[in-house]
Amino acid sequence: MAYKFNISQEELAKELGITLEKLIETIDFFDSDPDDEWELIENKHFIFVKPTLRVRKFSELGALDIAFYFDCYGKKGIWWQIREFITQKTDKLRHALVQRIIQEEFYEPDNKIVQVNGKNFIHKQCLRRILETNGQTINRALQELQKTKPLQIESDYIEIEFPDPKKQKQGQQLWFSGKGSFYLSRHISEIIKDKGRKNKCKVVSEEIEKALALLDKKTHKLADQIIKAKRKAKTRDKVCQITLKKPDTVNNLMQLSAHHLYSVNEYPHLATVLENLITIDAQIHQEFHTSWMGAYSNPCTVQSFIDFVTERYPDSPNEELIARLYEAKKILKADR
Amino acid sequence: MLNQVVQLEIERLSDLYGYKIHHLEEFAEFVINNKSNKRKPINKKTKELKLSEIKQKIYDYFEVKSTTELKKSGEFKLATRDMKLNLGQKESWQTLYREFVGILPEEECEQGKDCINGINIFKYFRPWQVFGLDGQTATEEEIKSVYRKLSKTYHPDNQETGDARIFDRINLMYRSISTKIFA
Repeated sequence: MAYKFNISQEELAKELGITLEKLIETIDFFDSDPDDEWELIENKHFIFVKPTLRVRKFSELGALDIAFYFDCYGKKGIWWQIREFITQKTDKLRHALVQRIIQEEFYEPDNKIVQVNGKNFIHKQCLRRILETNGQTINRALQELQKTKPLQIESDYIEIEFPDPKKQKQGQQLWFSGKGSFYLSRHISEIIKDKGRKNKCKVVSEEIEKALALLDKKTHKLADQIIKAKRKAKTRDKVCQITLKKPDTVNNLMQLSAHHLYSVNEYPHLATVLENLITIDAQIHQEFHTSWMGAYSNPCTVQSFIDFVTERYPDSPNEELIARLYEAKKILKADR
Repeated sequence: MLNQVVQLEIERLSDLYGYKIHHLEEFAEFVINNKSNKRKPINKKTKELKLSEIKQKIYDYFEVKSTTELKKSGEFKLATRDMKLNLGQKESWQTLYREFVGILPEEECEQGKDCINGINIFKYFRPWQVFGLDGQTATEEEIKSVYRKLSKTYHPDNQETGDARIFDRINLMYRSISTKIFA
């Protein structure tokens, strides 16, 4: 059996309500007579972290045996107190370990979370790694759920390709919403027999929620910053930079839009950079994204905008526009 | 004499399940002739659950003891992060019950325009009950066959029984139980 030695001398003394000296004195007593019932075995009850100074770290078993000694010869009930302390410590450790896996999975820039209609969806393989299970168990859980309480497509899960197929394998992939992740995690906890792993599934749900909430907060913050940057760009440019026309504030016939030269989704680091924004007529903005680029979701660069202006608005009264766009291209250096 | 609504329903059931029209007509006449005015509809018989009873079921599901604990529960927050809830209102608790616990007693065997096989398809996502199949044993062919019949009935092009909302919901259910990506 593998023991985990994660309880320090100081921690144990504090939980026992004694001084460190008193604890060391007790340990010495344990070590003094090898024939009595009180015994602490190295690599089972403790390890030496600093052998020369005889500084130890205890396993759960070691801590409980010392607590049992005090329970017999002094503080009644201390054994239960230490057991509770160990449970809490194990729980904290479990949370910390899951948190670490989630951080590694969520914050690596390779599209493990997608946003569809304002909802976050987590990639199946990412969820599998967080749950530390294999593909077979996850597929079994999904099949069983489908036969009993099916997950709802578009709400609990979606089937879409990776946003950037160049980086990831192609084809339809499975992504789970918060509710979908919860159902899957809970069903896996019902399938597996190991109690520790069962508890871990609950911890996974709790930690995924925390991570998603943090992600939401970041997304909202970025959205606010983008609005502010767009406002600044409009104040700076005042008129449409292609037609040099002013917005029609009376009849609302012409409105201004702040256009991201490098699109937000592909170049999030440039989303709030003022040089990446240019003010244009809202209708021209729509024409660029829909008629020229094909859709708002298609990524654009400053070069695609230069091509658009050159072809569709060759007689633009703004003589400095193309020069300004090339200047932006030079400053932003975002072309891949 | 059967009215037009009953006749249409007979045609729909005959289309959907292949029952003989004259059997259904006989049954309808039997029901009408033996109907007692005092008898209440089936779903009205069942007593509505009290708010405290609904709450308790939700607490049990999420392994908590109170609403305060529920609000703090990470599992609850994850499971409901995309739901619009106001825990001050009974309606939200009913929504939670429908999603996580089961069918509310007063909504069992519900009947009406939005109901198929006793399930209100907009309140509950229960494809197997709606399709009238057993999820454990249903074959691909059986699922397809029921789907085709339901689609035919509720397709917006069907001027008598078509309904785009119901048709979309049936489609969603079909896709959720027929997808092969889990295999």
